[in-house]
Amino acid sequence: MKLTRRDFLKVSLGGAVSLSASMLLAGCGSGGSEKQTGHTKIKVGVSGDPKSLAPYALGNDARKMICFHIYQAAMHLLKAGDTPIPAICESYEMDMDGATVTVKLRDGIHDHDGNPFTASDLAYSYNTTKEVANSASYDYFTEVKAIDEKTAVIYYNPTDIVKRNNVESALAQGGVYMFTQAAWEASEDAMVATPVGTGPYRVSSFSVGAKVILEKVEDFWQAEAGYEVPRDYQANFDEIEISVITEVSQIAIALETGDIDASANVSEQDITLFQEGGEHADDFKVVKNEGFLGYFMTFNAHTELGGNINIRKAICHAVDLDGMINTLAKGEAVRMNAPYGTASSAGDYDPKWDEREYFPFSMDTAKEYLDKYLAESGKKAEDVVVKFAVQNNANCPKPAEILQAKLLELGIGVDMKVYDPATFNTILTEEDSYDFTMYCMGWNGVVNAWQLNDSSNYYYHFDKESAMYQELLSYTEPCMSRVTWTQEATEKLWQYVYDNAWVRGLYKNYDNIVVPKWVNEVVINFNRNCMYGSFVHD
Amino acid sequence: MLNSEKEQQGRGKKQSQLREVLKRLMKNKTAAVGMVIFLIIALASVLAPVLAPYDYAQMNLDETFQTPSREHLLGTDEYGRDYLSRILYGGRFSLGLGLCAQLFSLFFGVILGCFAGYYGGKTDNLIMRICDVWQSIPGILFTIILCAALGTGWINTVIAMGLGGIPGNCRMIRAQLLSLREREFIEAEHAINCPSGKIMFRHLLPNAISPLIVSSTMGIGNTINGAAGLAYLGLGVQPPTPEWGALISAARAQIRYYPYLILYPGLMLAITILSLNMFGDGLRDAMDPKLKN
Amino acid sequence: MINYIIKRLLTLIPVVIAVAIVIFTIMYFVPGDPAKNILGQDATEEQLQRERELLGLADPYFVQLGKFLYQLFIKLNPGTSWLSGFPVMTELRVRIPRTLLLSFLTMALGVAVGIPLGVTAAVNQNKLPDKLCMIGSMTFISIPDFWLALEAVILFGLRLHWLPTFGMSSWKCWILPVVCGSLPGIASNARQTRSAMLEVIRSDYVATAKAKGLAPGAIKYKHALPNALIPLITMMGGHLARCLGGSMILENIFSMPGMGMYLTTGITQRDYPVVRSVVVILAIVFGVVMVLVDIVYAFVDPRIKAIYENQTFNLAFWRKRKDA
Repeated sequence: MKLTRRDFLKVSLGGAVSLSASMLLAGCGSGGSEKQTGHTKIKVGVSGDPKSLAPYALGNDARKMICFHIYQAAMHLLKAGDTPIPAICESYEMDMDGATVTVKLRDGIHDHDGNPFTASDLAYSYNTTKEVANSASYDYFTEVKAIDEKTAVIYYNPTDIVKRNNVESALAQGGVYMFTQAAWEASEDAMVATPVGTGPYRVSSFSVGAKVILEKVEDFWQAEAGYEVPRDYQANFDEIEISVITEVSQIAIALETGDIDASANVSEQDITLFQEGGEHADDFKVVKNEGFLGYFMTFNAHTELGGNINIRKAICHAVDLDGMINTLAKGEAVRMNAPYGTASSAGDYDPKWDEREYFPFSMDTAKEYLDKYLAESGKKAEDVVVKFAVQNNANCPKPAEILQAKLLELGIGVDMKVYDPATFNTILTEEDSYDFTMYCMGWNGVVNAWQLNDSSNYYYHFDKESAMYQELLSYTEPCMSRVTWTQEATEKLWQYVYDNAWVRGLYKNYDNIVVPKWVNEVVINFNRNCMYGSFVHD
Repeated sequence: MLNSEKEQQGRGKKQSQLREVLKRLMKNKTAAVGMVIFLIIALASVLAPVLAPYDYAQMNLDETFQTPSREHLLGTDEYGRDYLSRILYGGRFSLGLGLCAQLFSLFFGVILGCFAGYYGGKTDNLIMRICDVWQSIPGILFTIILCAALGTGWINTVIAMGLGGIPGNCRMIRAQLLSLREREFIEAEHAINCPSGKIMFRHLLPNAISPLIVSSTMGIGNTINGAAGLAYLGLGVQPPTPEWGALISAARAQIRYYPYLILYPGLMLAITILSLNMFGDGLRDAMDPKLKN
Repeated sequence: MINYIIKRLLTLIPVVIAVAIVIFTIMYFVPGDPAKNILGQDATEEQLQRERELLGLADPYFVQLGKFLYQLFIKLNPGTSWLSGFPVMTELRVRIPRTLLLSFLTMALGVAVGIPLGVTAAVNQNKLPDKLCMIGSMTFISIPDFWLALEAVILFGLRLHWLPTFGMSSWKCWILPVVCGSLPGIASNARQTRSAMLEVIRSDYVATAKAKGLAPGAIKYKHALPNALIPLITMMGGHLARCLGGSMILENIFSMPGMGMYLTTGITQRDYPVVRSVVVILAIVFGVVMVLVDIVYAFVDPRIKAIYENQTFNLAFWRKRKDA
């Protein structure tokens, strides 16, 4: 049979089509399964937009993570609650009477642009940050003066220098990021998109809202000058590429297609793909990191229902913590039975507080307390409507919904309103808008939470003139000062708060960090951020 | 009694017109099917308290993510709530949302448009400029801004979505009125000193309303779709209210693992909008005298 | 004709100023304290007060309004974002092109595919292509766009590895968002074209053209379609509005930071300078596009061109009559 031209055309066309189809299918996006050695770059996915990389800006996790790579503070913490170790400064000395802290700088410090860093730059950083940020976080000092090239004095507020652990955390944790005066003045946008710090990485490109690329600083001063570089300042990659992925389910997809290598923002649902037995367990591993934000409930003493101890206890006992953790966190979360959660920077948290279940879940106990209230007020269950204000942040509405369902079972009404964070902040100060709230916050020590600060979160809930407030104050005051603090005083405050059910802790999610198989060790700093640059890898 | 005779004649004309429209509608098979489907869905939603096997807010944390079974015909969601009940009640909230929002914008749009179209001149100009400004802000963004201003919740969502549709309706009615008011029967009304309000609402409006009815019918679908978009951003209806858009948006985190969670409300939404569109198309064809054949 | 265009552009100015005033007023009354949002929970009352003064919130309404209008229109400075410290202009210069590109590509695809589809459906009325087109279009109008987008990402990005799933690193990244965004547009364009064509096909001049023996293609595209285009062009103006506004969902899913998400986060985080400026800019873009639409009318329909030049008719009325 002779091959006609038509047959020839058909065959070649078919061949071309199938060849190109197989190339397409095999070609694109197979990064995840390639075996590479000597990785010099890591691609990270974050779900929040860092927005601004300026040293003074307040911001989300993504911003903090990037800033920890590019900036340094006066001292450094490896773990929350530790004693600070040297960073920019070698040592510090406190003078309680004069309310000053004197710091001594190290040698050979310079920033990413090569400008030498001296004590006057340290003073400049502090003073400029305080001025530009206009935030309560920098109110603890009035000003900073440089005495000579290597010494500076920070003038504290007398009330702040005595506060427990305030000095240590201010120098390191909540500290001011260091930058040189020369770099600041040279920057056109106050370092919002062009930050110049002293850390092990520098920003090589910043695409607004989309991507940040960090590159290793070859002449990192701390290594050059021969100082020991702490674990979380090691620069083990040449480049870190940080992509902003706003839709949560896309993060897992990006990991699977190889567009990113690691992420700490994978949703609880998607994490099963990367854990043991999951589809991609071979290429990845999951590291659990205790999260930063925990869920709390607080009660409003201004209203009739919020101010009534039986109602408060009823609500506290209706919290089905196990149910919430199993349903929402797949059974893995850090319980915060103690209303103020675990390890705080104030160092006054006692692990034994977490061993007790303070408000065990029991609908019967809840009903008992509710009945007590109904008996003394003469109302019926249907007439009781509690107003529940929930902050729409970090999935807070989810445990709130579960609590609402349980309270509805008790027969009372629950008027639940979810507010976005901006409105929520305003609602908190309104006396009648809510009976109790649920929101999420970074952990706080017992002492820090009830600070002698008129606008502090929990004080909104009290009428300053009332006896209740005065009583609370009498327990809080001894705990505030370095001078008068004792463990017993903290225990007493703790017991008072628990007995009166003013606050109820729920749980803290684990942040699941998904990293590729070729990362051997995940490094997490004191602020629970991933220091991707310091990951130990093949 | 010239007036009442005229009124009776007018009413009679309207009645026979209505009957004609209905007849044409019934002949159009697509429209009829659409109407029937929509009525079934609407009926199921209204009868939700009777039909739903469980309470839509009742959680059972041991039975989360169940696939469809005999106890739960459409499975359960992430909190163990029966999905069938949530979808049935969801129909109430979604259809109610769509209907009320459209009625809201119809009501105010018609009033504004009637004043603009009937009085003309400066009133017309003023109202048209207001509509220009109103429409310069793209629809969904305007709704988001209003949601931020008014707050979340079903009623606020209705108002926010309704407000966005007012200028569109206003312009439509105005256009109709502008062409109708030159006709002879209106001149006659003027001649017998009929009060303006009566002219506007009793005589002009019924003749002008048909394109609005069509667009409002199809607008219900758009409103429900818009509510899904709002739910995506965390605005709109709040938990535990099972509005379809909110259900779809909440289920998108599980799209790869439990696709039925997004499929069922999505299907309901699609079918509802489809049937409304089929009905609306048929309605428009039925009301359009040019297609009489 | 030029006079007409100039007149239209001039009337845009009071409209834009009015939009600025309206958006300023709405944001003024929105609950929520921006100062507290910026400084956080721990701020004291005096710090909040100081911050409010810095932000200009302590002044009375009219003073604030005056300052805002002056800054925006005379100094052309939209201000700085309260939350990030980034100048709004810098961000917009990067974000506007992305949103505009996405919107225009979406609309272009919608037109390029929708119109021929609609014409085919109209010409083959009640036969198979028509029925398919109708069912297809009605389906795509009814599906929420983020559902469609997510399914597309899973299918084409994850399972088949054909296309990238997020970001803007290559031109391939634009395929999925544009296609997903244009499907509802294709659907409604097809329907609109079809019904407009049907109206026109039955008209006398088409019958005459057929009687004259003109080729079907010529009848379709030279006589029928231009007349059917007028309501279509009106609708596309509205489409653009929807694209500009609704792009936010696609931008969020595909991580293409554009104006949509910028505005939405600005609203939820009470970042007033961002909200005000972006809304005003959108109003300007929209207004200019409307003027362009009117100019296109003139090219498509010589009668309308005559009206513009005579200006003896109320154009808006005429335009609305055409598509009522």
